[in-house]
Amino acid sequence: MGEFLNQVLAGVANGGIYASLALALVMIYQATQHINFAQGEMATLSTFGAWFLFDAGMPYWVVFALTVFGSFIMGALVERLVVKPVGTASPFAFIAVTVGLLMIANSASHWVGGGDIREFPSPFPGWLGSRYLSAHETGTILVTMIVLVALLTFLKRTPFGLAMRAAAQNPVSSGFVGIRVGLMLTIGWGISAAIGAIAGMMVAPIAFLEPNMMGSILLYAFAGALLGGINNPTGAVIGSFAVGIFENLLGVYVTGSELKLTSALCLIVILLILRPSGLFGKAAVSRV
Amino acid sequence: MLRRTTSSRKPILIVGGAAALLLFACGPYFMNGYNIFQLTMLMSYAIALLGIVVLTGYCGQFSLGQGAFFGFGAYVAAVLIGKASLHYLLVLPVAAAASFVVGALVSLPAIRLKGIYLALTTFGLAVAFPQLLKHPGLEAVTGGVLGLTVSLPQPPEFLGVTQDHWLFLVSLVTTVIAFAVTAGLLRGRVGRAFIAISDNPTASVAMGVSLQHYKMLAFAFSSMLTGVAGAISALAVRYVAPDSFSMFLSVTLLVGAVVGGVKSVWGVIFGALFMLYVPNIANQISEAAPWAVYGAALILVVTFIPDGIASLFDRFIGRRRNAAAEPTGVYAPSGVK
Amino acid sequence: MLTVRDLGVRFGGIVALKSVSFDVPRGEICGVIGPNGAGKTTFFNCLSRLNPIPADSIRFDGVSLHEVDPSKIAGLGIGRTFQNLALFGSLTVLENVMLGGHHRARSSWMADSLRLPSSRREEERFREEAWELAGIVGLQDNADQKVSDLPFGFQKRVELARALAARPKLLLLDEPAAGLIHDEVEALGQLVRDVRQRFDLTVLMVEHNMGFIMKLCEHVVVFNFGEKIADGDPASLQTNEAVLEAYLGAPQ
Repeated sequence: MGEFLNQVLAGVANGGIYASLALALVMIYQATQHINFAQGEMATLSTFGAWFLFDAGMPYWVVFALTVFGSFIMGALVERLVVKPVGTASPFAFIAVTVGLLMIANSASHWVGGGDIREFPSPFPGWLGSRYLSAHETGTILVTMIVLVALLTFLKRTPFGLAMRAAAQNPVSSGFVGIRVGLMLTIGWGISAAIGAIAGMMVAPIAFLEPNMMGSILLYAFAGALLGGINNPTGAVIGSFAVGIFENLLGVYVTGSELKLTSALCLIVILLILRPSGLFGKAAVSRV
Repeated sequence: MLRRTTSSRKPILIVGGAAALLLFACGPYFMNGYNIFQLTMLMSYAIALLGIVVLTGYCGQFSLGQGAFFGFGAYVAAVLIGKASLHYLLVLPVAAAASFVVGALVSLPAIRLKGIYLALTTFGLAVAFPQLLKHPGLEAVTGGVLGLTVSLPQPPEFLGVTQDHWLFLVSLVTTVIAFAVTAGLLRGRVGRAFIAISDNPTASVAMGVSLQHYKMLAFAFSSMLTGVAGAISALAVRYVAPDSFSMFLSVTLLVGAVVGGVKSVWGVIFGALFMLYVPNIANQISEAAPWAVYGAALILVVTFIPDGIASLFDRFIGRRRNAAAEPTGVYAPSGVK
Repeated sequence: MLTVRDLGVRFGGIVALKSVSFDVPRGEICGVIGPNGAGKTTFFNCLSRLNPIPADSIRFDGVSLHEVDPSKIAGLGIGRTFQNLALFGSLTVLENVMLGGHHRARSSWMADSLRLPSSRREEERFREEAWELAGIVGLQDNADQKVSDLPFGFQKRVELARALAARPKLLLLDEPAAGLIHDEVEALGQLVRDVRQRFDLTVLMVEHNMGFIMKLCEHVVVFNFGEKIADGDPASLQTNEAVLEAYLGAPQ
């Protein structure tokens, strides 16, 4: 029993990491009704930026703040310069652009970081650790919860968040009521990039900083977000924990660690077929 | 050129196309082994891109997992030659049939998913495929992490050509068949049904188009093409290994398709050229560069020439549909004009 | 031809249709009217099997529609146009109409792929039929234009031709006169009569244009709040209290 609990909690720890990136994915979806495939790679790039600031000797929370802020700017710039010119073309075009960004960001990480694997500091004090979860894992879950609450508050309780969601769901009408749709999109991208940076800084101490750090994490975060319902930040977090637990349990008890990714995906596909809008999402009905 | 469902009869295009084909077929006589190999790879990419045109360009199903089908075909070829000692001329048809079946199987869950859910699932397929190949349980067949080597087929004596040249000819015949069969499929009722599904699935159902049937056909046909392309590449490269068929391959294929024009059958030639030559050029700038170049190309093409290079030719040939003709008054009384 | 008994449809908590029953005899032009939100398009969507329906609630030509898959409806002989147009934007006029005949084609995809003579002959035949239909709606000059380039009025005609290409026994028209000017409405009426005769059709039409309905339809069914409130010939409905109340409100 203790062993099982161990594995479940290990899954929860992983889930915490996936959840932090999943929130970035949900944010971009709330702001643009599209998925950003480059979210993981952009987060890696931000984390490299943070590493260089650490290397220069700055204290942790200063680096944290600067990285988050800098990533916000990066996200906003990317939206203005790259995404906006594509216009409201087909969803295919949008996916293609984010895949392109994925490749560019990954290249940039390779160029900046070379092939080395770097260590990344964790800010969480040792007393946070327990028998089942390390200090950093606990800290990650806490940070993810804080980001979730902040995001929910922003989206659901502020006029700004409301304007942003309106702009995403109906740009034309939003324009008519005076919402500056373009600005909403830019800020949406900025916030997502900032959340991604936080995710990166939570992942790096565990996964070690290297250019392909976020590769499979993106997939798990994606799965978690879709599982929980892509429109639902809370659902995405719960979904991510579920993915973390499934993946770990399957890997330990059923398929062996080589097939963890595959089996997790199979499970998610099955779930999506049974509940196409995710566990907590709402089905969209379209009028003919 | 884009999503055409009717055959063109313009004589100059047919003559020009035949001439180009003939020139291409004679190429190897003037080239060394490496260049012939490149031409063979060009054909392999073109066929793979054709698969994407069918699935995504015509039927509107977004797949980020084509690299997995490519790899499947490659491994089928490698295993059949290496372990089953199948004659290489039979390998291509068998790889085609196997890939068709696998595509149909994959489509079973896939057709229930739309948009980003389908994108995620196929993305997952691309990422998971190498893992499956490396799995110890399958190592006896797949060769595990180290992969398999493939022996190059021997040409028949009477032709007097080199091994590379012979493979080129076999690939050429395969490519011509692939294009003919694909064009035949798309230039009629099936092509129309695919586009209908892409444009308005609800209306297409009301017209009697079965979504399950046609989406499955699109997946199966597309993976058949991609699998054959993979088999050709296995024979050309003479080696298959799990990491050659990673997510990056899927992305590369996507870029090639978009650059050429995802809705154009003939555009795949441009896409294949892009896939063949751009990494070499980019590598000379910096080792990390090819991906950045691909990424930039993808973004630039999608932004400025959304229908790919093929669409530029569309305008050049003057295939613009006529400007709106005047209506023939209000509804004409019943009776044929 | 069409028998509806106790048809009820719910979307979550909303009752879209409640216990609707009526008959449409063969060869008739029947109108379905009612205020907005009355359930008319929902009713059409039931016929197209886009919604689940109770068992035995709809019988068409003797066949119960309950278990029929939506993609088989065209094959049974029901064709339709859509309220907000549902054309295939990137296809041409001719291609859209040819697609209307999809369920009637017999050649397999392999025959198409290999361009066998039988497949080519069938394709040619469909093209000729589509050309004829384009002529009937006056769009032969636009046959090779992409439908998304056409003005709204032409697009409506394409929808009609496409629906006819299915050689339906029952033609469902969802607000065919919407957005048309007076002359076009007149011509549409004439066209509906013509095709009814020429193709031996039964027509069921949802409309808001009262004059159009009254002139064209032999039989009218009135919906309100998801229920059928009247059923009869046009003249009798003009004095029907329930109908007047639905449209004009109860007398104070």
